Amino acid sequence: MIRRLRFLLPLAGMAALWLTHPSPALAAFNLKVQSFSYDTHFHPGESITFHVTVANNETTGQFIEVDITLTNLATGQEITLTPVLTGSTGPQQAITLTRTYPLPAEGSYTVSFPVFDGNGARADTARGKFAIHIGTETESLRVFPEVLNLGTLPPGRSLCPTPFEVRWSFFQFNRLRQDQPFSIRIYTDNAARYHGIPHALRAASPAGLVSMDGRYVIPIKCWMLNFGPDIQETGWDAALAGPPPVDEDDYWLGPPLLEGGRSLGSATWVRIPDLVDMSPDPVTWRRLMGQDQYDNRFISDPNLTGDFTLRSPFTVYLATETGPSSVEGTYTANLVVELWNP
Amino acid sequence: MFCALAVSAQFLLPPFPVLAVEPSSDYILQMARVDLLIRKRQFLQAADELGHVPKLYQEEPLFQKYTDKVVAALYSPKARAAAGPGAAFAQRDRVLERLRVTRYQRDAGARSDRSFDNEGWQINQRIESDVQGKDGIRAKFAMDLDGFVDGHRDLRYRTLLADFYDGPSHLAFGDSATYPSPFFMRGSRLRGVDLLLSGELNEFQAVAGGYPFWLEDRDEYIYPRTVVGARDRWKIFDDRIRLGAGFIKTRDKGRIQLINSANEIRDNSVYSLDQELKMIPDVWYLKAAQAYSYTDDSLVENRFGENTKLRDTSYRVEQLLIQPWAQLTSRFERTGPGFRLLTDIPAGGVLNAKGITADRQLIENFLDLQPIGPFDVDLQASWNRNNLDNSNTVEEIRQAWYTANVGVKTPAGWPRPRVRGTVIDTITVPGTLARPAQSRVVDLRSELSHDHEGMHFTEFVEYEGDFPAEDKHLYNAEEKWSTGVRMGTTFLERILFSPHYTYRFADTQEKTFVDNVLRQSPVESVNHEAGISTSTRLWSTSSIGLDYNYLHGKLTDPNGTKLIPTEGHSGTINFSWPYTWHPWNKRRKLTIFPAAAAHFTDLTNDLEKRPLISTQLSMSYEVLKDWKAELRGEFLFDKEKERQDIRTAEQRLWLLWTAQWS
Repeated sequence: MIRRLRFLLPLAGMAALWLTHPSPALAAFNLKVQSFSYDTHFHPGESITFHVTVANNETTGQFIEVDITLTNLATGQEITLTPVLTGSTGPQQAITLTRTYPLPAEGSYTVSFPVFDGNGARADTARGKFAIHIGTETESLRVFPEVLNLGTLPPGRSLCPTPFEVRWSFFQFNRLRQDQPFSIRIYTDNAARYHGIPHALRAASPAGLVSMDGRYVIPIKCWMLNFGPDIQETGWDAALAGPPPVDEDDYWLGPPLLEGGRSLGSATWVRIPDLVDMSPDPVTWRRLMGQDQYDNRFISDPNLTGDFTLRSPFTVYLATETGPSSVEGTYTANLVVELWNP
Repeated sequence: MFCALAVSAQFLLPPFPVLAVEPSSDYILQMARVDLLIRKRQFLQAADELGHVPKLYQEEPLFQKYTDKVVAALYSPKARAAAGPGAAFAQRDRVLERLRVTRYQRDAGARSDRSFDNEGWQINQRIESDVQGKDGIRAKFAMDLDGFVDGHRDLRYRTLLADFYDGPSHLAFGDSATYPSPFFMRGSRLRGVDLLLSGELNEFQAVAGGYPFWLEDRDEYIYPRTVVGARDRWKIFDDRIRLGAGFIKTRDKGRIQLINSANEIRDNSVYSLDQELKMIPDVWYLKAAQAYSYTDDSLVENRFGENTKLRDTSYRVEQLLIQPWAQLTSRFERTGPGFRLLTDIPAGGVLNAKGITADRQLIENFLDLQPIGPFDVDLQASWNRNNLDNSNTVEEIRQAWYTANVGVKTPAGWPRPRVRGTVIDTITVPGTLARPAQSRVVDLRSELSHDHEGMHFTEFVEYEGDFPAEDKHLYNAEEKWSTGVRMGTTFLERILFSPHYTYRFADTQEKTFVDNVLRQSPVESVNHEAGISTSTRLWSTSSIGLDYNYLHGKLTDPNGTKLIPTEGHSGTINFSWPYTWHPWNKRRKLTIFPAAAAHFTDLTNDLEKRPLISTQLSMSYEVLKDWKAELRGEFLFDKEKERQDIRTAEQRLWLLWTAQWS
């Protein structure tokens, strides 16, 4: 008896579902957003023009309404631009709707295009890949403190106890109304003071701390949040655990490779180059943060604008390494933090 | 726009024995030759060179360092394996254990980044063993366990590796990484099989598996991207030519959209060739690589029915030319806009991305000339551009850099001048509204350093000009001059005293937009900056430093648009005591490193009126090649002087235990 009841239980469940689940509302007509376009960067007071193409996949003519919705990235507040876009199209045809709107207040907004049919039912929603940015041109950079005294350097690798902060602001866009590329980079400018050792076979780089007599160099490395390491690869959560230990080669030199050696490009502590080591190739720079949607190095599907900025201020740590060949003395460096845009 | 930091440090007490006699120039040259030979991996010749060093210098640390390097290289497992069967038995079995615990707490003010306003724990445990197997084959096993308590609790294994190796040949199961050529793996972390067979004339590698990704919210690993690839490399003509060929194929699964719904599902294949040629040994070396990639950029059609197929190439050539009078390094690189090489999937950081940067062309030349009479000259000329297919939707940036670095060797006791000049030509199409499309930046810096009665002087002059290429944009020109002097002297062998003064003159443009129209007005500014730095050794290796700076002139306002009159003071005081003690014997090492620093500034930019305090304490006890315990703490505090809500307090504690047994 119990077995038979058990067999009936799923049937009873299905019946209950049928009884309790309300019948669906009238299905929306088959309308799809085919394409859309809009500019993304504006000064306050300008206006914005949207072009939206909607295809009617039904066999009958349809009324179409597109409610362009902007969502403020900081507050989450939604704004539906009025008057909404409306139009009618024949069966199996597409229509392009165009309208210009005044812009909302300064800020960043995501864009979505919900489409409604003549019954007010939502037929489709498309979302813009790029947010709209409204702002005033700004460009500033400050470091704090401006003098760093690292004290006595201990033997081996050493994390300098005094980090410094970088405060920045930047908002510029180009004539394509896209983000103007920029980056904040760090380098030493010691070439004019570094002389090197006479008769040396190989010219050393002046990057790092240079001795007062200009003959010797102690290299400096730096770390900030953008340098990671990648938590998937190392198990080190940089946002939580901060600068990774300088004593571990995985972070100082790079993760180990099967064939021996290290993956130097994935090192977390990275060398600060000198200006003379750099070239127009951005790979030779040490970029702390920035944004460049034309440099494919930073672009990924979720980050189409190549944005690797950090909120101001951000902190930069320095570390040094002295070895058996380091020479006693007093060392200094001109360390430059530069906001670069072409 | 740039900000300069003056960084200073003292390397007071070398931790190693100091040479009792002055090194001769012959000895320095010998060491330089050894260094070069080690870099060229010619260890036998380096050992031969070391054997000719006079006994007088054989206690010298640099000699010992190079000797250790050469001996290690000559008697490495690879070298021993090459020496014949059985030699590898000399290596001992060992087990390594490492435990790291990190505690973090941050209290951020209202205007700081709240996303990092949190607290949590992180635990990392690693166990690694290296043991001897049969027939000279060794095995390495490794496991990493990571735990996090930071709003979400998870415990994950990260590395599981079983690597069986015989000299340079490996068969690895589990998590491994490899970077044999620019177009193969590039250090991506693979979970699967990695086979590397390395012989005297041939090297073969094959990989198969997936790139793992830990989904924190589901507490599980997923494998959204599978990879398979192989490469082979031959050494011919007595290793004067190395030729390689390889392919790598990755294919995404729909699961990649669990990481981020914006991720496209792709299929990517890369076929590559690489060559290393010793055209004329010790004179001319050439290294080149070529690759062709095919990418189905959207395996699943998106809502607009787009399904992009990308095909493109990448080339790179590098040459090194060594002549008695100069060394020339040249590089050419071209990667088409449609070239893709998919690697592992990082969790966040973008700066260490392993993929190849598409859509750029680069030419670089570095010429390091041997001194010509008293002149020492280095030259550089480089060109870089993107938008290789001249797309209208991409901002094209073309840059040319020319740098000359000239030093003048003067007789002993005379001032030593050095000049560095850089010219940067930039073309941006269509460019920004705030700058001309074509401009030239000229940057000249010269320094003169000399000693006078125990005092070291450095004088510098710097000029920076930013000029538009067309006369109609001349309103945009900017020029900056600066000059200054820095003096350094030591009293009583303990106190370092260093005053400095800098004068800066800038003829710049204030840029404002009124009704979307750029308005520029010329602004002249004069800045005077003076300061004093002193540092004193207290006891042992402890030191205290004091810096004071005074600024009078104009600085950019907080909105970054106007220059406003400024008078500011900033000061720093810091203390540090890196102390190392070897109790009982040289194998045991106790290290204590307390440090504290405080900074203050009252520059007129309101957000700069704040103190910053940082303290750090590090203690470790270590028995070399046995075990080590370390405790480190850090506390950072900064606060805006006039607003209570702008402050940050951050503290971290790191605990490390590591041990190894043989």
